[in-house]
Amino acid sequence: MERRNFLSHAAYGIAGVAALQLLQRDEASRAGEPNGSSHPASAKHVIHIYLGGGLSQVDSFDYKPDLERFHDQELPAEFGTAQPFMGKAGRLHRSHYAFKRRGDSGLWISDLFPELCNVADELTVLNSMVAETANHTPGSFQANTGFRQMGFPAMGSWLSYGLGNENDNLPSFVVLPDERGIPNPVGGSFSWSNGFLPPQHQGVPFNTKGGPPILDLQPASGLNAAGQRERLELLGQLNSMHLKSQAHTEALTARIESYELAARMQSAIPEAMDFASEPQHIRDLYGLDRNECRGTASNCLAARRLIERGVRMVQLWTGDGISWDAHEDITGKGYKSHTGEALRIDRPIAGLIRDLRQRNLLDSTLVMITTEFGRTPYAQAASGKLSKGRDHHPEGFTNILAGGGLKPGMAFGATDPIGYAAIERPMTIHDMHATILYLLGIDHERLTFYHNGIQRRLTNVHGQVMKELIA
Amino acid sequence: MAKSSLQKQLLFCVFSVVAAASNRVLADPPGQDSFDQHVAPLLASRCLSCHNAIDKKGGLNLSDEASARLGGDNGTAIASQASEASDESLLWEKIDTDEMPPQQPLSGEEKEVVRRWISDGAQWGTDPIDPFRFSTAGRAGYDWWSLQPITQPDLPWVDNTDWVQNEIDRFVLAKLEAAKLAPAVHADSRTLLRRLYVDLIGLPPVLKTVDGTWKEELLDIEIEPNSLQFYGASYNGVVDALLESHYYGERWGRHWLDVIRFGESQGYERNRVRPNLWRYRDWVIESLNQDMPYDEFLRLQIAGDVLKPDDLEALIATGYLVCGPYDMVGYEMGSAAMKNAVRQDELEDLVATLGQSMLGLTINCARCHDHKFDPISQREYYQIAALLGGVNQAVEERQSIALTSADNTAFDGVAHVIIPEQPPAFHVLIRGNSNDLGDEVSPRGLQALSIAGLSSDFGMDSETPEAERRVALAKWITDPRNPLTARVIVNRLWHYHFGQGIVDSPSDFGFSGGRPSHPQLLDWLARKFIDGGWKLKDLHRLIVTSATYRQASNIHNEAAQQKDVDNRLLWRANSRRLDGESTRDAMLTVSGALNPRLGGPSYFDVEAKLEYDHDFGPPTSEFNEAVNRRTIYRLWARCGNNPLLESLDCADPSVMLPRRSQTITPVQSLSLLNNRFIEQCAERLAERVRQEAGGNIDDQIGALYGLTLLRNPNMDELELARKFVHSQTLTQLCVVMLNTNEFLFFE
Repeated sequence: MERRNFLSHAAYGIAGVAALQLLQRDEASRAGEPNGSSHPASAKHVIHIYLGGGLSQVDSFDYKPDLERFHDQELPAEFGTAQPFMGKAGRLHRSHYAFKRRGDSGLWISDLFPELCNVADELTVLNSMVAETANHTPGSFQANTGFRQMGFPAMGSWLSYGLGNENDNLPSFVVLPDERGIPNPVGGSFSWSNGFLPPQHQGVPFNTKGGPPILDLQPASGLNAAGQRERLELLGQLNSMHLKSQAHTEALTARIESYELAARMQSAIPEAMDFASEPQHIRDLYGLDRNECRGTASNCLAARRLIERGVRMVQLWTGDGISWDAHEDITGKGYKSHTGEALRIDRPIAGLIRDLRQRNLLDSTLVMITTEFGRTPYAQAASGKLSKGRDHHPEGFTNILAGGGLKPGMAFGATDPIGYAAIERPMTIHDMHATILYLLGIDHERLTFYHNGIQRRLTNVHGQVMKELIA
Repeated sequence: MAKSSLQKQLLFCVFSVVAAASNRVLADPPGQDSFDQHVAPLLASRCLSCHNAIDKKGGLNLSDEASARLGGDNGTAIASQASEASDESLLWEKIDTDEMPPQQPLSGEEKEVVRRWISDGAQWGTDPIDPFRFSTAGRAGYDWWSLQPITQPDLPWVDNTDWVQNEIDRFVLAKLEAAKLAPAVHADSRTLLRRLYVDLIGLPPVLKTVDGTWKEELLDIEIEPNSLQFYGASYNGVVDALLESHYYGERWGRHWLDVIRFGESQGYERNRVRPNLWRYRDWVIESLNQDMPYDEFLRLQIAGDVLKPDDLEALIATGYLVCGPYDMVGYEMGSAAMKNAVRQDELEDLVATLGQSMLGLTINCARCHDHKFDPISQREYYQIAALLGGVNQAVEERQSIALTSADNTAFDGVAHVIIPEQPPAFHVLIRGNSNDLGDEVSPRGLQALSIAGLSSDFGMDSETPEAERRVALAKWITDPRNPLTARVIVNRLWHYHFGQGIVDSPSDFGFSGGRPSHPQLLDWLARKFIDGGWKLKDLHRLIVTSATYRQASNIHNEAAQQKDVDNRLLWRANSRRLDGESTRDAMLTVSGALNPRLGGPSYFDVEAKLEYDHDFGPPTSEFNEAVNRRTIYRLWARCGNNPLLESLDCADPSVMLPRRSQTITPVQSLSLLNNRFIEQCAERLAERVRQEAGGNIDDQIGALYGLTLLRNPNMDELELARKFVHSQTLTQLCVVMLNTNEFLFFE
């Protein structure tokens, strides 16, 4: 029993202690029990780009020529009954963008993402995603934690808990909010919460609006570097003198060390976030100097620099958590339009994938471009009408992955001919999480944490590893 | 990780169960009792998960006699009574060849049980098999330890009677002596004083000497500093003063709020602030300060509005039922099916909170199927949900209740409390799917708690008014025969006093939780607690005046370290880091900036945009009377976390947290050194030190040590501090002192 929660028992473990490392050590001493990591990992790091609000599958990666045929018609009964979230089910609407086959792989991608089209051969497109809810916040929680309800750890927290960190001077799970602010509409900080896992596994949100990258990195009083050194030195001396009189020193020593780590973090974080050493061609690759995409470009470049330095997972938010929520006009240029949002992310993400490839990092880094649900193939409009908007739609949608040991240039699963419901190899969030953990060398059924009566998992009691996806 | 220990334990259980079983099988004549004792538990634990009335794998259902004898797709599994020998039984054949169970075949001893049963004529017993009747190697049954009536254990005999101060010590010492271990010496006065203060009121003592007598400022009491290590009036006087102080309720109220995931906003997309829920928080604090009997404390939270219809305070107590997450968008938009699913999620959260906070049971785990580890059926989950079916936060969130007291004095305002509605009929939802209705169920308690004669049948049906349901639930939970309620709260108190419960999973007394380190002590305490009228303060007093509690933590004891590294036997006290609230409150206290005002609306410490959706941003870093209150009074909004407190392991309002982590991270250290709040406390502390000690630096350093560490600096410390102040500032020295391990830990 004592080991049920060994991390909270080993309550004083500092950041960077990996559950699986401990697990292996622990279990190696017990006969016959294999390690929690059951197979070699292909991926070591994850960059998760979250498109909150609901990316329309039929306008991006899920090509449905039949929608042309059915355009301006009612949803045929054979495809099911419309279940609009906002209460309005208009007529079917064809894709707002032209689709073509791209790259050698011939993946179908629409003109919404012209730059991503150029890296089509690196992408693994999941066309048969299904979600449990059509509501943003529970959907977003599920996309990030596996559960609709509040209170569960984000995937990045699980990875931090399971794999630890490669660099103690940086947090293991870094969150880069959009320059427009933190995603309050979908639960804000809860989206990267450690839930019931120990707090060192929490996502650390960096400030991406200018100014110090994290809170409290430097003294509020502006105390200079010499003063800070002197302060640390005195603290170290006082704590060491106190330590000598103590019989049980584990926690006390961990605190002494944590100040040393903190001091190193003070230089490591700004160094990672400083692009001065990046040459112009790299800046151009990401679009760092282009007005339309500067914010995402900066976050994508930062993500590469962070994972290069050993951060386990970086999560990038595009928009405020619901900015892909195109109820009114998919093709508009402003907030909650696809055309406008795509402009902000298309070049930077394509640049990131290319940059990872040229640095030989793409095979060991999984890039995830995901959303909480898709959008209806029918317009959000009064019955019998058309509009340029689409409603929330969880029955079939698309997530895009790249790198990390996946088969590239492939589309997995399929929706019905109008892109309404996933009919071929439907894939739940749990399945996707299970597959991602597998790439990272983790058996999703064995990465567990006891909380209030249950050995909790990222994948609840579900999840199937989709081995066809793995190279 | 967890798995390996569980396995170890399982192996142990299997061994003992089987050993006991096989011994008795040989002695017992075949018959009903033998079936119930030995065969049924085996079938239940190893066969029925597939061969049950619903799944019927291979067409075979072994859960009742008629179906079992009928057999499955492959024919007869068990011959009818005493007609055929075991070698002709298909059941036996599959078991004997290890074909069944497919994952893990039966052991030799287990096979012998089945073989003998069949060869003796396969006589059936209780029909259908009650899979919960007995505990097995893999799950708890009705005979699980925590479900048995609370006993009245005799006080154990001990050698070292001189050490014993009260009954607690006899139980603890008996175990130590059995392990050939000795308890630690008493902690010194300074350690005990700080321990008592932090533990009972969550604030450190502030000692001053005035004309040669020592005064503690917070409680305004005289203390003879070296007297506390002795038993007697001086120590007991401090304990009484602490328990009488209003700070006590603020400290222990926060513990309760942790357990029940108290949140002052809805969560989810709208996340609207509940501006009146502070009245419930104040009710918790005040009830604890008044030493309201714990059974009454629980009853009012479940049904105060019904039990005391004219009592506004009792109405406010029902804030318990409506302080959880609420998905407003989910309730108001989307399809009917989705709304229904949201409602079921809400009920699960409510059942989870009630079960875990009051009973230490994870009833919520039975929403989609029978509980995997505890004897709670899926049907029972919906029966409990039906008892709470009148709670629907959709109603509370639309309106708050205006309060006016009967005599129109003291009271007016609004409160966030239950506004009950008569619920529809409840059904079992097949696999938890809110659109797949199974049997209708009646509001009812749990069979598992009935061993001591507490009936789970409240004589209710789907027409029973919801008020009656909650009253019945409240009475059932607080019935003295309920085996869990008293054990759970006694253990919670123990957990907070010692840093570790007698059961180390304070909200889970089921199979997945811990086992009691001192089961007899737990029962003795629970029994005394009930007999004494459910008084928490009596229990605190008993615990903190024991010799066990007064042990030193800073102790070398090689033998004990070897035998019991986790200190489960309590051979010393546990040193602990101050929790988040205590850290902030302690800094405010020693710097003299604490505004001790009791109760009232919550203060905001993060930026908040309260429009259509309510959004929270970075800390405001204000430092003034309005916000320099105890941390329990901040607005505990969901997603409105204060990063400093978060880094210090404060409870997230969306997570039930019966036991806090104590992490140590570089982010935490950065905050403790650099955060604006710490700087501001340090400035105030420096000011205070200058005021109290005058211009002499050595005197200032002395005063600073007195305030923060309750002692004088030694020569080395004085020298280091002096040097530092000369090159930096007194304020920065204060920052350093607030960061020392000695300040941030209490022993």
